[in-house]
Amino acid sequence: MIPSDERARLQRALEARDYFRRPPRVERGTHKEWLHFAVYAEGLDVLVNYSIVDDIRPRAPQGAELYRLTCIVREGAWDGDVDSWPQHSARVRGGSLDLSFGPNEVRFEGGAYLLRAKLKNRPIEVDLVLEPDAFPTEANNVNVEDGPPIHWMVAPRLRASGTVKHAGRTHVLVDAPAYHDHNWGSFGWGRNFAWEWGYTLPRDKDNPWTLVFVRLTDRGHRRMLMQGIFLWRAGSKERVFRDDEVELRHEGLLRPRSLLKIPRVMGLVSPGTAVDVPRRLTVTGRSRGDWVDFEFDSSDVAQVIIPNDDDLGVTIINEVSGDARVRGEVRGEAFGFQGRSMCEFLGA
Amino acid sequence: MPKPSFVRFLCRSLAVLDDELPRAYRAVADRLGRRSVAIRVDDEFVFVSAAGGRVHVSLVLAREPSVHLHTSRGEIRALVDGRRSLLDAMLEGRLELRGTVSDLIAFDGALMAYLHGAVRCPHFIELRDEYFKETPGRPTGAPAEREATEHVFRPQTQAT
Repeated sequence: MIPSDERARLQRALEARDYFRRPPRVERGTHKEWLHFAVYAEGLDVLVNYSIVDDIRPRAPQGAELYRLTCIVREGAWDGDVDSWPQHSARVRGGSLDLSFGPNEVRFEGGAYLLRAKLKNRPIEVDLVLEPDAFPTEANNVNVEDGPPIHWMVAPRLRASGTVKHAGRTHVLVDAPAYHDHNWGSFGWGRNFAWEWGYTLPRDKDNPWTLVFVRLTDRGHRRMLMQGIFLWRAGSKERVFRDDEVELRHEGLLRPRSLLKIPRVMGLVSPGTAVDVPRRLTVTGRSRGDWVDFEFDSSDVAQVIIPNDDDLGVTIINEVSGDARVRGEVRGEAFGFQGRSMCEFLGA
Repeated sequence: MPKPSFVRFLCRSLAVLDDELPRAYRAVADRLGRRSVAIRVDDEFVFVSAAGGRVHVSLVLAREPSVHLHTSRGEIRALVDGRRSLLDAMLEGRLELRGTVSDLIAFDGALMAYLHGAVRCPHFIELRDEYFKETPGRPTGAPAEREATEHVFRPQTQAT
């Protein structure tokens, strides 16, 4: 996808943007930072998320951090968990992308991401190398309602090779489509914000287009703070639709028969199978003669349930897999593709 | 390896909650109000009550319980591991709760405050793992065991 003479420039672009921030703490911090990876192969969706967050408990020592691995695999149904690891088991270097805790590791080395993940109590093990195929983009200083801005870096298109072990089966992946982003900022879970976000990559690996969308709203989903559709073509960002050029529409509600909630204990404080996830999501962009339509049909959902920082409530991140269709036209070039997609719907 | 003890787990977990997330601990006490809860896990009996913003765990009945809870260590594990919901456990008779509607609502509020606190305190993971790893042995409800357990944990539970 990326010409070989561009590979070195792509590597430098990622090294310059994708590194751990971990600002020094001068007071009790609310810094949060995570690396999110999604991979799909035939009949298999994989999500791996490495996070570092400040320990906000009142008596936590200065500089205390919590390390977590979130890993879910979908083979017919979602399976997975969230594992916490103590600070003394972690090794991380600010200013670079090099993190390990327990058997889990993520590094950017030689122009590729190296991922290792193994859950403590579920039979899931991931060992992958992800090679980027598109230049990253950043959305810095994204305002939220009641706190400092948050930051987002997207490397939207990668090829994943290696193994995913699940429940006694070993899946060997070769150049499977993958997505990565990196988020950081100082904020509290439960504050007045929510997001909807998703990406899709073509099933046809020769199709050069990639799409990512995001919408940030207040917690009640009543007031839009920012939204955008990002389109890449042949590894370079080709077109962005922003704010009033973008419309999102929900149709129906997904009603799963069963629902994976992680960490698993969170099912006790957030029971039930009702989810605030549309059965179909349509995102459209229109601007100066260019247009794009993204249609996403939800199929399965898993919930990552996060305790709020400032109250005894929870924030629910609905991780939704499904199939997507994209059509559009940019600068006179018509395009379209179908692919697997992952969307996130964050709710209370 | 010690025998599994729900009483030990409960006392230690309340001490952790009090130390690491006092607002959740206070919420447990406030929501219990003047009620007493009788808990039976396998062959262990324990009574939980609150006064003056403190949660008290006692092996001796101080006042007539408003709520009775009966379950097993295996069922607690199924709930914590997400294999069964609290509602399903009750409907299937794996966890029994008795009390008036208002007392059960108050108990649910206290239980939720305890659980919301638990999921915010990393030390709960160690306590949970310890409780579930302990080797089953002689029932811990035997008198000698009760006495020892109460003695060990009296400073943390501030029995009335």
